[in-house]
Amino acid sequence: MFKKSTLLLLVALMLLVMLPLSSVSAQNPDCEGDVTLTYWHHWGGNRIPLQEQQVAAFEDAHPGICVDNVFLPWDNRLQNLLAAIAAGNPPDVTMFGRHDLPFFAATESIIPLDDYMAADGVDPAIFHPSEFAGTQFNGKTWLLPLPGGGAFAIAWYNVDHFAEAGIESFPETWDEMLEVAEALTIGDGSFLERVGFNANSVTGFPFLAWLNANGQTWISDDLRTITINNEAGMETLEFMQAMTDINYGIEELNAFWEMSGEFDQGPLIQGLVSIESNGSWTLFQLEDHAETLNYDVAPIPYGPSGSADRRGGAHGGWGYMIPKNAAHPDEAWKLVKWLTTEVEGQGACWFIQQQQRPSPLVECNGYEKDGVEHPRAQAILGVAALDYLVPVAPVQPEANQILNRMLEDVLFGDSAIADALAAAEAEIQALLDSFWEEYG
Amino acid sequence: MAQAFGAQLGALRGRRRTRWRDLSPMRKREAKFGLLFITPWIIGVLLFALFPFVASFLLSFTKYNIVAPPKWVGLEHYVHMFTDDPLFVKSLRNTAVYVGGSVVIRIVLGFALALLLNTKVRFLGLWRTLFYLPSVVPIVALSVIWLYVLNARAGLLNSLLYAIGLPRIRWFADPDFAMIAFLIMSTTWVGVTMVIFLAGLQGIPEEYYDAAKIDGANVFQRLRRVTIPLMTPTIYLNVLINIIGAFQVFTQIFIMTGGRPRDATRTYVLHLFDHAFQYLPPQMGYSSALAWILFIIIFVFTAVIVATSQRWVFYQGGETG
Repeated sequence: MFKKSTLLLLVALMLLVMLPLSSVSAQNPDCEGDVTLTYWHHWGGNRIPLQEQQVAAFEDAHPGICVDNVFLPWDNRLQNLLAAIAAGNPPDVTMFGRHDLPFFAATESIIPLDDYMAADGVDPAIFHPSEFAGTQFNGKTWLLPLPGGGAFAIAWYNVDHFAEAGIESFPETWDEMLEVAEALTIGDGSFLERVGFNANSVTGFPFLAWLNANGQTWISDDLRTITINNEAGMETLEFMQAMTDINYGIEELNAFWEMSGEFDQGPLIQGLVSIESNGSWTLFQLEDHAETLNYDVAPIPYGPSGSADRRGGAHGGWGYMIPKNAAHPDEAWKLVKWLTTEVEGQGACWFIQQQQRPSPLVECNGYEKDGVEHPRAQAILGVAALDYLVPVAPVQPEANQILNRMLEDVLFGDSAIADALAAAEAEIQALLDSFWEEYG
Repeated sequence: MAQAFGAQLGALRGRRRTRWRDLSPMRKREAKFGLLFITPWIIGVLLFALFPFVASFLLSFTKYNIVAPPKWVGLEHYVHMFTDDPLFVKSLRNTAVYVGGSVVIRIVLGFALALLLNTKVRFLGLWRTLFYLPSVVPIVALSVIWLYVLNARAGLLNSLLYAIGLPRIRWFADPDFAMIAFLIMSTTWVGVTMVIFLAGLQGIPEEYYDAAKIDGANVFQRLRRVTIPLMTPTIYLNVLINIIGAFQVFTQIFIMTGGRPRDATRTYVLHLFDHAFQYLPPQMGYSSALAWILFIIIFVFTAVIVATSQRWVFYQGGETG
């Protein structure tokens, strides 16, 4: 019926079709080496060519080591990594969320870097303290940071709106912020035309950001005890509730926010909000899409239990690590070092400067591209200097959901603030206890 | 389609099994090639269906975080979900609302559209294509489109409501309306149901209608006495397909609301997904247990429908389901 060769061809074709094609891999064909490192990252878009240049520079500086440079999408990053580690075939180096660190470190699925750092004289002091602190778990260093995890909660505001409302300076305290936001909000009492400020839209985890600005760390240093059910926590939720009330309640505010989704249609750019709390990357969105916008930056205000020198929170961010069972850990360390500590050539500093964003390296000004400093650089760095480390819990993703549920309970009026705080603290504490019982 | 399926089943039941040694060399050769060609499918079923099926059952009795070996915990997950997981109950309730609402919408609307498109109207092919087209659009694109349609301030639907003097609805911001928004969105896939109904309608012999007309039956009587009874096999098929699909609703909710507001759109599969792939440590064991409960629920629903079908499904020639 069929010739054997035809049958073999059909089977081969079927197998080819079944091969998964889920990533984009780039390997320098000119590189010759005994070792080929597999490197996973999530730098998409216009950062892909920057990554290729950076990796090529590493190969030039480290003869004998080649790099298979694999771009993976952000979505499913954890599934990919967990599956690779479980299968015993992880990459040699991978980009990694600092907020994902505790679980991977507790299960020793990644390699501590302290011995490598000591051997090569990499001093933790080369990093900003709040950035390096996010790399620690159980007293060990598990990854090195890049890019900067701070400058998450910067207040970007429309100077013209302030002038129209007769407001001369950016508010320093929450009470002042409430007054300013009310003056800037436009609407008829039930339908918002413009939002002065939305406290629920702070990048990352709004409650944690405001609690931090109110001088309270949400979890103990040993990451075993939740500390939100207290005076500072009450004040934080009261502030968020008061700000939501200024915006005609949570339903109208959320409905308003639906119309501002994409970066290039952001509410600040559209003139739909007067103050927006967002990360340092907002600078480039504004430059790309709102050339004529008259704006300025300021630190977010602090609460009644807080202080002027503690505003934004450094919570999470990125880094680079070496998974357990990596095929070439020693060479992998060289790549991690290049990607995170190298201030010369096309190393860590160059990569950040090309994107003009905060650098975790003290010696590197991320806003100085090709020797020219961005005009907004000092203002943003000044705000970032007031960042304080917001620790990551070992059960952070589930804790975030619980905190968001707590916030909704309060804002929808389904729960009193004290009850919501107590319930959330108890629920997260139970998760933490369970985690430490198993992994402690 | 449903009738043809029943007839094929009957024919298979009556067929005698043929032994391998009784086959001619030609038949044996054909059988070997047949087996060879379905081998990839068999491997696929074993690897990607049967193995995960068995593995998930075993994992449901363990704590499993992917990077470490599973630890046996017995019935702990099953006890936890029924006694200590408020989102289990809430997500189940939300899913029940979605299943009930979307199945009724799709059956009623799909049947109504099929009846309309089974008449001799102009551009019949165009209408059928237009109603079916949304069903083949990727769900991510559909989700984005529906976000615009249901936007509280500038959405098409609220503009229509406003035009007829009704107040705007904050579809995805109001916990009372968020699931209703997804029920409205479920009309997107009514084309699939419609096409199956159309196939069923075209299988009804014209003589039945002629006889009913001679007996003096009007349009509604013909619909009630002829069309609907003869469509029960198709309705049966559509109800089964839609119930099984609706219980697994996930993608559009994951994209559009993530379960918010107030967990009003948190469905069962979203809850399961969070435990498996969003939380750290990953809770694969608990997710597997959730998956098995969902399987049992769908199985029970299907079994009840199949068992009761003998009472309300009628095949031409007097057979019942």
